[in-house]
Amino acid sequence: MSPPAQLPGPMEGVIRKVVEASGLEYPERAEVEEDLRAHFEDGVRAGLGPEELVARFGDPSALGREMAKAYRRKTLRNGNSGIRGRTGMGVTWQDVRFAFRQIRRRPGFNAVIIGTLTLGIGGTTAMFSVVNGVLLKPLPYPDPDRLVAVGYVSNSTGTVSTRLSQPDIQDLQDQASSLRYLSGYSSTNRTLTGEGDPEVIWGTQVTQGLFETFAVTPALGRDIRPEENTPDGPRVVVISHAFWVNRFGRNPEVIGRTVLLDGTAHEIIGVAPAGFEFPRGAQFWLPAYLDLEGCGRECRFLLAVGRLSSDATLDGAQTEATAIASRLEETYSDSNIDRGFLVMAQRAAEVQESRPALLVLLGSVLMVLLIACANVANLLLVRGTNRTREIALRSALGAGRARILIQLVVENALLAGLGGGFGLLLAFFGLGALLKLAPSSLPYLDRVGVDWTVLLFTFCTVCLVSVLFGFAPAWRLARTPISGALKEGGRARLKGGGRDPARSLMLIVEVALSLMLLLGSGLLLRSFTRLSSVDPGFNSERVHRFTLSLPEAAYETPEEWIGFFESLEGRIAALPDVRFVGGIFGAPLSAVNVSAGFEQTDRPPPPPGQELRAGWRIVTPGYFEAMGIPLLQGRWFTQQDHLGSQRVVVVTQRFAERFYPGEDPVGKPILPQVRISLPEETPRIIIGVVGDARYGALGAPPAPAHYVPQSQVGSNYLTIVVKAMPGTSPMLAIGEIVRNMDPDLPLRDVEEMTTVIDQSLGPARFNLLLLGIFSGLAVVLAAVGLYGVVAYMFSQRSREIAIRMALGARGESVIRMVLGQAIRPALVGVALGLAGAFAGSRLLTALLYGIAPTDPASYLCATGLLLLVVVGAASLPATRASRIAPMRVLKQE
Amino acid sequence: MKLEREWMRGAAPLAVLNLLEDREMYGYELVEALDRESGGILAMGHSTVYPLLYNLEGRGYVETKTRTAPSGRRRKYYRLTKKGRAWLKRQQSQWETLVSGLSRLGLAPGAGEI
Repeated sequence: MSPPAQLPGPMEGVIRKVVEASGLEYPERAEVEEDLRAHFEDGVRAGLGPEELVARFGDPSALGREMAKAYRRKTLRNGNSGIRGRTGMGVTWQDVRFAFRQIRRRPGFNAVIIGTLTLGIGGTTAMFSVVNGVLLKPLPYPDPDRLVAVGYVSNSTGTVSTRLSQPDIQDLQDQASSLRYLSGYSSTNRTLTGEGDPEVIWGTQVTQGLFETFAVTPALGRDIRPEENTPDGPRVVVISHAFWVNRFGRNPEVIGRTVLLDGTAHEIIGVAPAGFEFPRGAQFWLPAYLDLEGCGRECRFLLAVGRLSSDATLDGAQTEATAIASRLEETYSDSNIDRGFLVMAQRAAEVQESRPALLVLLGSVLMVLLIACANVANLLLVRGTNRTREIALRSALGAGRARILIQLVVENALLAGLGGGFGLLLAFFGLGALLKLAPSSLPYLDRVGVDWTVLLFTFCTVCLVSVLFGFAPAWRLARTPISGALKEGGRARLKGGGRDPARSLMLIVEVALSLMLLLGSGLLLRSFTRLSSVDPGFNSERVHRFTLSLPEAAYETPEEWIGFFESLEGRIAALPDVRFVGGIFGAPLSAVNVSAGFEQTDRPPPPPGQELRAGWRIVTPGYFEAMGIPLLQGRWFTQQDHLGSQRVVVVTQRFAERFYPGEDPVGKPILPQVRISLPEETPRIIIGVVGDARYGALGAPPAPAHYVPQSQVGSNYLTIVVKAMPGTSPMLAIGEIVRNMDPDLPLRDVEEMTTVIDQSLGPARFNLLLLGIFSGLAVVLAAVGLYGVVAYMFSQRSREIAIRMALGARGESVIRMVLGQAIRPALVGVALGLAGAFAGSRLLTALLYGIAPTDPASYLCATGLLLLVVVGAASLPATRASRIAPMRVLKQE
Repeated sequence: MKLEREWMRGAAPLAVLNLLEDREMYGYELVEALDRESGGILAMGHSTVYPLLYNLEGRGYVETKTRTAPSGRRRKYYRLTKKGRAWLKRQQSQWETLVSGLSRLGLAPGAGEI
């Protein structure tokens, strides 16, 4: 702003009278002044004398009043404001334009601010989009809040299990008035043939009323009827809308047609409405063909989903379900001991595993946003000291404090708005990458996107952010004393030699939050390292796996199944690229993880409620070698263990330790209580003990388990594991073998075992990666902020430092002094960060494996790393401070 | 002869817009032009023109742009907007109607003579 030229006295007097009479404030007041000044200058240039110009001008007071009126009219029309008192708090378009000009005047500085806000707001928006899609967006069904999931809960241990027996589901539905509908379901897959290449498709077996539960009606045809849900019921299927569109081209005549599922013709009785996919990805729904006589209350394989009655609440339903569970426990003491019911909101049940991680990540990115705000506030405080003269000049021209504050708030809002806009773009494009990294176990990823809720969230974030980072600097600037600022040539001195509580506070906040994030990611890193170095109990190197499911229509008897898999394994073993081959029902880290009850027939049965139970798997003789599971005692299965020979079983080390403590289990008899296709089980002799392996999840300790031989049980569903020779890949040849044996048999889930393990680490890796990015960002921002603070302190104290050095102070003592001032608030930040991290540590418990959330090593490392960054960031400007030339500084001053 | 206040109030905005129809002008230039081109009839106190201009700006009939005048100084130039042009046209026809009515009463010369 160039200082205005001074006009002769009478004309200055006229101008003063006009603006005083007008009552206008900055910036309107300045505009009027400028116009009048130009007017008089033009008059002088035209050759008129001051007296004549003043005489021609007319009554200045009347003009002032007219001006006020004119502006007021303008205000009413345009929402403008410039009159003291009445409209002092309004925001004008002019303010916005002015703010834009201010931003353009310092492009580099404002680019840093907008960039920082873009990162903060963009990250927050992207993370919120995920949380919104997964946790918040209502489920895509009518009245979704009334949907509930029901599971069992152990009254003694609190353990929850989600698989229920059909009789229990039936009793609950019959007796609970608070549940309008309740249906059981279980995901399954089928081989679709007769429609081109055989294809494995996912679907669900349901008991009854699934569509009623979800309050949807089939787009065509009807739902499955209860009478169809018997072992000998008709083979019927309801297909998904997508399946109908893709396979049948929306043909309305599809009802009554048949599809071949696992070689059996199923009549299509209905088409689900568009968008209905429950569970996720289901392409068809079949009756569960419930065999209540063969598979009663002990047969727990169904998940349960229900709908609350219109007047019922979740708590009410829980109370009622608990009472029903007690009655069932009394009536069926052999099967229902210690089995309470747990009623949860369906949404909560579906996301309960993902929720803690998502909330921690959202919290973390909000911390990054706070750090970004603190950084921007710091930058604005620095700029503030350079703008004091400009603000003081505006004050001197009549701008009130409110007026200036509004102008600054508009500037800040504009910065935040630009940061928000770019942040939204960042979120929009970053979301794609985020979703690619997301583990497939995260539900509802297809519903994640930038929608109105996300836009509203971003808008609120921008508003909040502009207040958070902008208010303190704006408030301080608006309170700048005019005379002092003008006298000091634009560099307002702060009290206390550069010590500034507001800046220190920002620094404390940044350091504390950064430390918390750094600690979080440190803990996740250590946890991830432990998890990925867990010994799964098997050797996954060079192990390929695939699954085959023999359709019962083509392979009717267990003997045929046994024969097929023996023949297949024989042919695969003959391949030169294959070292070992074996098969298993219930492969490691797969969806099939069966446990079964058993009796020790050589000792008295345990009391009710303490029945013995362990993992139960069917294997072929080559399985243990193919997986590298060591034999600890006794022998493996051989070809000699067949239907006609003594029934045998191999147990794991934990099984032996748990059920035969201090004894040799080999030679002991047990009777597995598994009802399967072959004739009634007879006691099996334990022939060997093998090493433990992790089947459920890498993070879960191996449970006791027992293996039975395929040749004595017969399963039509086996996962074949193949240990390849080094540097070979036998899968193509194996595919050919299977095609030659049965061209209608597709290979399912063809994967390398190492990939399976890698995928099982997906959620942990996702959490680690995101928290790592957030904490890295936080530390960089904090370092930049700290650097800024120290550089600022130095600039404020350069004169003092110069005097000290001129008087003989040494460079090191100057460094110590400047460093000390920066590090003191940083240490407070570290202390607060440690306390905050400790207080919030339990939030991380669910995400950690093998370490406590208060792991001292992580605390030490994170604190040490942050202190290093603090000292590093502060040292640069401090070192510069120690090298100043005292005389040059003093001359400049 | 100078016009009375009430007459000026009606005529001044029209005169200002009429002048701005040909080219954009800054404040002092406008004051001078009014005086000169109306033969002194519409000359107004310099202080009167600024509220008038602010009013016209508020109503959207004129807009401003600051640029360098031939004198080398930065000046705020006023120019007619589309809205202002339409309003001017309407007002001109109103004046013509008024003058034609007055001339029929023998109070003014024929419309073509003004």
